[in-house]
Parts: sequence; C-alpha cells; structure tokens
Amino acid sequence: MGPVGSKIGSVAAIVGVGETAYSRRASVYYDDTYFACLAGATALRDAGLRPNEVDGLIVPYMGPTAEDLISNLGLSSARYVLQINLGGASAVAALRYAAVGIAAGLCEYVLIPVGWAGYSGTRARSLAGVDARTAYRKAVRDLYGPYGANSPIQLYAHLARRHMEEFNTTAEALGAIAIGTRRNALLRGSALIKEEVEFSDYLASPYIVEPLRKLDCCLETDGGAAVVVASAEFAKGSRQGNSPILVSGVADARPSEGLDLFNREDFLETGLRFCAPEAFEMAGIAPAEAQLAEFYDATTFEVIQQLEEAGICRVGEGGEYVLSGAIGFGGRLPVNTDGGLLSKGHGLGMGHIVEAVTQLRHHGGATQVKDAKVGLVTGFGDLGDASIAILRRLG
Amino acid sequence: MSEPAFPEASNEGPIGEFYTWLRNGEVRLQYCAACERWLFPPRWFCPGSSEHVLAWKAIGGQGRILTWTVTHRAFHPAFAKEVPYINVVVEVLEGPRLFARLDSAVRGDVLTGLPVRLAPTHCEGELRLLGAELG
Repeated sequence: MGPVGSKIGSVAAIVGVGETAYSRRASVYYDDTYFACLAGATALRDAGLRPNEVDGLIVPYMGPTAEDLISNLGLSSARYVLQINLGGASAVAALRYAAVGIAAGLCEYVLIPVGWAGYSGTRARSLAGVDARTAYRKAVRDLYGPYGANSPIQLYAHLARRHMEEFNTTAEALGAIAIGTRRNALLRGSALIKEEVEFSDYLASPYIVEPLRKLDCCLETDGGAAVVVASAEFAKGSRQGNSPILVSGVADARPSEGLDLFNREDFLETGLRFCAPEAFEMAGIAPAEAQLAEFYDATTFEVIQQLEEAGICRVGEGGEYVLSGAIGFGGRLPVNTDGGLLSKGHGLGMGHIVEAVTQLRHHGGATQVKDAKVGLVTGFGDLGDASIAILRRLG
Repeated sequence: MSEPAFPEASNEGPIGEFYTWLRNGEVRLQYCAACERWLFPPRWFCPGSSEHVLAWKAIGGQGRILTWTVTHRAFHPAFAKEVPYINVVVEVLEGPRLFARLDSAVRGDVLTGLPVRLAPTHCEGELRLLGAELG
C-alpha cells in the first residue's frame, strides 16, 4: 500500500446521500446539470448541511462544471474543488480524493454529485462524437468508429466473447445476472422496466452486438445521485439521524495499456486488479468478507469480470460463481441489490454508492442484506479504468 | 437527402501517419529498434526507451482473429446500411492487435483463431481504412 493509501483508510465517512428517480421521458428540457443539482441538494439535506457549509466539491467527469454546481446549489464556501476523469469509475474514485482532502485538513465536507440525461441527452453511444478529449473518445474516433464501433457495448462485447471462449462462460451465466438484478429491482420497487425476466426471456432478447443481448446492456436513463463525505471522527460525534458509513478502503487504477482496449498483455485485464488489493488492505479485510457488492454493471459481463478482478473468485471462474447462486439475494454475496445499471438506472456509479450506503444503514427494504456491516462498490470506466471502495457501518 | 457523415479518424500526429500509410497502400506500424518491439496504438515515444525516432515499418498483414462480434443495430447512421456486420480484433504475427471490420461475408461459425490478412481497404471510394479478409 503506497503512502496515500496508508493515510486515508477509515478517515472519511459518507454522511448524506441523494438520488433522483431514473426516467426515460425523451424530454430534452432537463440536462446533466439539473439532475446533478437535484441529487446534490437531496444529499445535502440528508446530511443536515446548508450549502454554504460545504467546502469541498468533486466535479463529475462529464456534465456540469464546478461553476454550474456552485452557482446552482449555492456552494459559496467550496475551495477544495477537483474533477476525476476515470469515466464510470470516477464516482467511487472520488471517495478517495474526498478522503485525501479531509485527511489533509483542506476541507470538512465534500459534495460529490453526478447527473446524466443519458436518455434525453447525449447517450453512451454518442459520447465519442462529442469532443474527443478522453482516451476512450480518442480510441473510438481513431481506432473503432471508422470500422463501425461507436458505442461502448460494441467494444465490451469483445471482452465477453473472449471470456466465453477462453473459459466456457455461458449465456446462462450472463442471463443469471440479468435475471437476478431485475428480481432485486422488482422486490425493491426500483425497477425501471417492471417485468420479471426468466431465462427464456433472456434468450429471446435480441442480440445487440453478439454475444451480448439487449438484456445484457445497462439502461439509458435521465437521473442523478450524490453523496456528502465528512471526517469519520466528526461524523461519529454528530447528532444527525442517519448512521455515517465509513469509507474504510478506497483505491483506483488504470489498465496497463490505456490507449486502447485490446493491446494490454492480458486481454481481460482492467485497472481493478491493481487497485482492489490496496482497497482491501486499507479496509483490513479479505475479499470474501464483503457481505454485499454493488458492481458497475455496464453489461452483465462486467459483473463476472469484476468478481474476478476484485479477487472474489479466480480468473475464469466468474461464470461458475454466478451460476452457483452466490450473487442472488440470500446468497453468499448479494450483488446489485436494487438493480444496478441493468435494472434501476444509470447513475454513473454514484447510484451504486447510494445503494451500498442504504444497505449499510439497514434501509434496504425488501432486499436488505441481513446484518449488513461491510460492503463493496466498484466503478468501471471507458477502457478499463477502475475503482473500488469498501464501506463499513459504524458501531 | 445527404448521406450521414462518416466518422473520421484524426489525420494528425502519429495516428494520422498510420492512416496516411494506409492511403499509400501500406499497413505500417511503429517499431522501436532499441526495445526490438512493435508498438500499437501509435504514439510519439516508446514507453520502454523514450526513443523518439520510432520507425514506421511495413508489417506482413497476416494475423489471426482474437475476438469477433456481430453488430445488429446501427449505432451510427453511416453504418445503417451495413448491419449486420462483423468487427474483429486481429492479432498480427508481429504482435500488436488491430481492430477492423471483416470484409468477408461469413456468419454463424466461430471465427476465433481463423487466419486473416490485413490490408488497406476502400471507404467512400478511396483507399483509407484497415480491412480484414479471411485467409
């Protein structure tokens, strides 16, 4: 564990959360900034904070600028202000840099809002057409787009294919993830599409990009989510209603070759294999001790890949792990307990943090994991950027 | 009604040079003599040696399909007429892995491991993209 990791474990706690409804209204009136601010305001209220008490702000990797957030929410005291650029891994990674600011005494409260009009506005498939300033957008512009691959699903499908051919991972395994997370969402009342999915439905779901089907793909929605992070010491002493949730470990990493998706030595490598050990070490637990997991499920395959990359099961065994029932509600490691990106909505990874906090506060309703004390949340971005946080209920 | 604009790669810097070679009828990749290593995607410096004179050398074009997908939906209007189409990640004999659309019209069977030849291919009437054909 490097010098940063050893100083920030268990320093910060999540003291407020907010999440909007996720919708597909095809109205272009509300934009990314609107949803980020709506969720941000909710998180501030949940934390019992006035906007001018917040001195830290982590700007999402796309959507609103710092100025948008400050001038809409009234964050007049924000001085520790930064932006993380790790695609979908940015939200979880932001917990690390919030902890850094708090540990260094640079701020007391950090708001981390995210918003994406991902249905009405710029959808994932069109991101590369917007100003190629990230590695993902440059790779799509120069290496994939001219050949007909413009959407993330068209790239991730190659990873799924490789895994299916190298390790005999089956459609059953992918389907089990789609079926299970839909079931969780329906139980919780958080399902965007209010239909159960059986395996026959999964097989009947049309291929979008073989080997991935429509039911393997995350939702495109309008919505937002946010958290407020504070010092764990301060949070423990506070008289606020909700129990603070400790960020006991958090780390992020890029893949070894990040200019494209396919030229890293190990085809299936993501940054998660580099940062997961650090996060678990900071938290002082082994991967098997996590009681619940919110995995960044851009596709069903991502869950399998991240189970392996996080060290919860061995490389190649993710399919078997899923088929064993371990990730179902009531299983050894319930996954995406309110539906995730596949069945709840696209909160760019922040929705996963909100759900992990909700579970650890024991507010998880019909899918509350019994005696939940420690859980993990991952982020996955673009060409394999990764982040992971271990969250723990205090007391 | 005008045709939808084709998604263009950048024509600047190292990637621009890759495509310039394709327009000249050659598939060339960068090679670092100091590290004896081929590099892809294109860049300015070899990360192993910081050698700034990376030579563009012609590759044979032979390789094998590492992974393949079939796109059934048009994500970009310029490809609407091509659906369904096959994309492949080809590992060339020299080592790097390149992405292309498979020109050959073949479906159904597992394509992984099949030998392919990469060569410049035409797009919108001119030679300018990487093409892959079985064999």
